[in-house]
Amino acid sequence: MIQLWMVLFLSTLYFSIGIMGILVARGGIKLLMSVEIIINAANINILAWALNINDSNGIFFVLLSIAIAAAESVIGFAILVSLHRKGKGINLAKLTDLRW
Amino acid sequence: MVYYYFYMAPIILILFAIISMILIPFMNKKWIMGISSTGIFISLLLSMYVIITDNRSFYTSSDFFTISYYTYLFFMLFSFIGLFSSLSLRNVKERDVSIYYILIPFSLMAMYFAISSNNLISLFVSFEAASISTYALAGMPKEKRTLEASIKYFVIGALSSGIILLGISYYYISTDTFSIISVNGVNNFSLYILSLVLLLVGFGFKLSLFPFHNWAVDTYTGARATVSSLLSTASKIMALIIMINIFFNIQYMKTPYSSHIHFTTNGILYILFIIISILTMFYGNITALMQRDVKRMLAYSSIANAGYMAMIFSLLYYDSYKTFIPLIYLVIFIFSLAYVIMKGGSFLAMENFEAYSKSTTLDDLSGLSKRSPILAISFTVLLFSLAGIPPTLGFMGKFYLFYTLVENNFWWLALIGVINSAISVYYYFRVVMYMYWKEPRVEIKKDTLLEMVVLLMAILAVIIGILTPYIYSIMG
Repeated sequence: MIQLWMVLFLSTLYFSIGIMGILVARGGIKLLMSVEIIINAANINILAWALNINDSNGIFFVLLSIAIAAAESVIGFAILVSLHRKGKGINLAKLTDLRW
Repeated sequence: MVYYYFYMAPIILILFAIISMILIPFMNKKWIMGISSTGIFISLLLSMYVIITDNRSFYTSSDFFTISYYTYLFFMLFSFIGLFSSLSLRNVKERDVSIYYILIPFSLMAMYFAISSNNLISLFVSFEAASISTYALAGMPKEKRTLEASIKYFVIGALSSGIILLGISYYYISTDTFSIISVNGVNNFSLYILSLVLLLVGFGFKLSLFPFHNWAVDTYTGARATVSSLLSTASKIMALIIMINIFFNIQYMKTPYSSHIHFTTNGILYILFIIISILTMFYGNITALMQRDVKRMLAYSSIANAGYMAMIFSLLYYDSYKTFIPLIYLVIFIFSLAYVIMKGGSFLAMENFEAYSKSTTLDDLSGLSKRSPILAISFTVLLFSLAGIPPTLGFMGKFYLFYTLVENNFWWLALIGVINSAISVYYYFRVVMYMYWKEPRVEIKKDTLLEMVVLLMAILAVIIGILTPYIYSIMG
């Protein structure tokens, strides 16, 4: 039987992996993947609890948040592509024009 | 029913403008600009009409949205700054026109839905719609600088939306519902507190509170000045109103861990908010002292202003926090009206320098009074208003905020606010000094329309500033 703490543990693990990815990764694509992992961590929580209490709102919300994550990564890729076309590639560590 | 449709008219109008711009092919630049600006302008007028008729009884609520007088109060501010930032876009390439003029009304519409949500589902969806359209706006004339600003904004924004979503999931687990206003009970206190803190952090990123502020400076500096005037005002006020809607509407209760009177969920939150707001004010003001770039200085001062705004959450200290909601909306309305006019106006004044000389340092502004007296005097009025010199609107906004705090026994917090306000006078007046007592170094082309927009903002800052006590008395 799957307990609540197992789901929470799994999602916390996912969330930590995602945060670690954002902190460590310098390539743009890895960064987008980390963002997706963070959003999926929360989706696991919501979906598990919605199935636990038989609530359709949660399942509906997970569908919406997957769509939002897709829209977000589309915008992210668009920005990365335009950045790539301006030269220098998509290594975010090299973006140092704006510094104080 | 006609009655309700009339009150929904501002938002339906913007929706029609967006759909017509997307669906009708082969529209040229002038048509798109015309439809977008007219749509925003008419919805501004209609929402002003809703406010002036002062129909407090107008209130409609569903499972997802609560639309009331206060929604239009803040939507008026959003459409005001949206209108002026889309009017003052200069040198737009033919191919970029549709992107700017569709995304601005779209983000305004999303902000409207975000501030009227009473359910975390609709709140998250509309908040993300507003964020995503502003990521694209921030990178808009596709240059290296703006794209860098945009990618930084995007990364932090995506991280914050992940944190918000995790907070929502814990909220759902601990209360079995997504609704903010009707919570039947909490079955897991530690997850509930964790969810509220995560929501604070997530929306704190958007409001650029202290430990989460780093993106704001780079984004406001790198993005185009008109876009930053929209980002630094409308999107920030949206985050503030969302936070007020959440934290002043949900239920707080004593935790089972301690019997001490203030060891409640709101007891924990108000301490967090006070610490964050004090740190934000000091950080923003002290770092702004060292800036030579005026646009960067304005970005830091907008962080400091976020600190002033977050001070209002100290009222969570009282168990009767729900009775404060109308007062908080009123005080925050006056503060953010001042903030929109003066911060939006100063960023629009920067647009002139951006468009013609590509840099906005103090040297570029020196001797502005000789080159363009109108821009110099109106920018000076806006800076006085930001510094909080009476009788301008900025003084009134700060006055009513601090007055509310003093009335509710938070005089020491108000004192810290006044000290910060005094620090900020230095860096605003340095810009004024450069404009009036230094010789001009670079020649910059004048732009009459931009000058008129900034002049209008300055006139509004003075006139509404004088009328504020009257406005406060009829609305309060």
